[in-house]
Amino acid sequence: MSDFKTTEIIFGPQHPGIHGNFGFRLELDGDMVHRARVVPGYLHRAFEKLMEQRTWMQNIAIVPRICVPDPDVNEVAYSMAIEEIMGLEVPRRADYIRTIILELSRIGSHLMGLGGLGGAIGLYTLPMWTNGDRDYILDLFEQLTGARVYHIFIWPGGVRWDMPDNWPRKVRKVLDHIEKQLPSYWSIFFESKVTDARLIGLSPFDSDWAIANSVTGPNLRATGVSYDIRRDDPYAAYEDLDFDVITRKDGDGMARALVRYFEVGQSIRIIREALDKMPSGPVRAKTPPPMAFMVPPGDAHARVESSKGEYGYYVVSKGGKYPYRVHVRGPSFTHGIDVLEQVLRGYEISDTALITGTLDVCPPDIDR
Amino acid sequence: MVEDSLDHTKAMDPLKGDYKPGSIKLEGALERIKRLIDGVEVEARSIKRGVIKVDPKLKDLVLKNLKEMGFDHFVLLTCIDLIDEDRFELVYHTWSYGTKGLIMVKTTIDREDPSIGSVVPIFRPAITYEREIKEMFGVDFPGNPRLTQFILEDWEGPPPMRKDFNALQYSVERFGTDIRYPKSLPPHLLNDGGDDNE
Repeated sequence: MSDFKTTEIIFGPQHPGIHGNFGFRLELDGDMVHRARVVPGYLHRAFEKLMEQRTWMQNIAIVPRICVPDPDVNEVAYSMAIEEIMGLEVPRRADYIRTIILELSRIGSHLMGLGGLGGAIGLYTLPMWTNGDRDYILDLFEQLTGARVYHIFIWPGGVRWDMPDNWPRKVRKVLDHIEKQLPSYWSIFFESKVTDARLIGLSPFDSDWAIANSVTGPNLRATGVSYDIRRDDPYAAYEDLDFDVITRKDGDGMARALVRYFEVGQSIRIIREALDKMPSGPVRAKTPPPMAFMVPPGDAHARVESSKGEYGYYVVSKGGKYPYRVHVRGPSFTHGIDVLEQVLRGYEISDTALITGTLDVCPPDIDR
Repeated sequence: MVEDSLDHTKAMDPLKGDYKPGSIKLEGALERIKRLIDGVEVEARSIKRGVIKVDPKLKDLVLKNLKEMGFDHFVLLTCIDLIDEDRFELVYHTWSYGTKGLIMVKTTIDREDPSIGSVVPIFRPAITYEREIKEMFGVDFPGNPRLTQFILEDWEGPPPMRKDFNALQYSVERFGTDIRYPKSLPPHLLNDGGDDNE
């Protein structure tokens, strides 16, 4: 069988099962994927080049667009890198508000990811429910920041303004609702025999392989590595808050889905605790006005844990009004290209969209 | 997967810290690199961030040693166009799960005909980063098995992330756009690609 014939097909970006704007070139041997090549770039907007031509503060409006389902990690990481270069001290209350925003965003992104998994196995009830519940979170963002998806709310030195008086009460109400919904998601998705048949044993990898290939986030924790930037390289208010790092041992599609599912519960716990412990005080450090915002020469690498994995911003300043270089480390840049190409080999074409879904690939952070 | 008394807000079986490859301190790692290899500059910025400056010839040796010390998570490979110094700076970011620290290995190469050995044999994830840098900055990485076209399809212009690439001028020349720009356009957009940092 050294000379078998393969067929090449183009899968995505128009395929209904594809996750976002990217595609594959699949070399198929019958139904089996013999070789997969990821084709990114449909969403490339040259943000890194654009950011070198915009002022430090104008870039706050650009960065959230780098990850659509989980935009706030970009604002926080970019701000943290600038704060490190400038030596800015962020008020504690702003750290707590940032934490709440990040966790709400994580819940929204995980709900969307779980819904996508449901869609990929033909279970369309789950995406209806999860996306419906995600909308309550977007409502909360709208009440706090005025925008639903890209909030442009976090900036170097803190957040733009304080929470409205009744906002914490509304957050708690939404959290109660999502907590009540979790068992429904569980019973419709994780108790389904179809889910078991499709996800158990799907594209497994072990922890050594995952680390050697820079897999991060829930995909790494699904292989048994208890590692979370929130706990191991803490930022915002995570040091003060108590939460579990969810791990599973199997490293397969089911383990990855379960890690995401249980992280929603942990995020609810973190937000409740942050609301309870919320300190009083200002929400912004004293910074220069936005149009005269200058950053002294230096460089910094800020890392945050997004819902997809490790998010990082490496910012270089040569002094002045514009950044010299901003490099974004999106989690999908490793697990969405090289890792995906490796794990797809040997699976059927019908599993392609599902494997992409269990890895939670976010094409915008590859393209940026 | 049915469990009646399942608490959906708790972890099912959290494993606590079963992966500990090493517990060397970040300063210890930097000191060891300095002792082992001549001609490196090390700087510990905090207990979690360190910087090593090294000659491009020695960067493989430094990265191999770092990997042996537990810095086995390859985070990022950044290329910076230092046009004033006529150099490219490459920054290899590695993280250790045991030490819980990040070390940035910085090296600079000549801007004319830039080329630096690939680190894919040491860190596999560099394969995609090097592929992107080859396309965006024009830096060659001998030893990388996959320096194929990445994002820029049918691209004929110069590498676009270089500081001397002017996106506006390129699109006018390439696509024949004839629009009048407002006089209030910031000068850095009309000059050489945003290098104006006055």
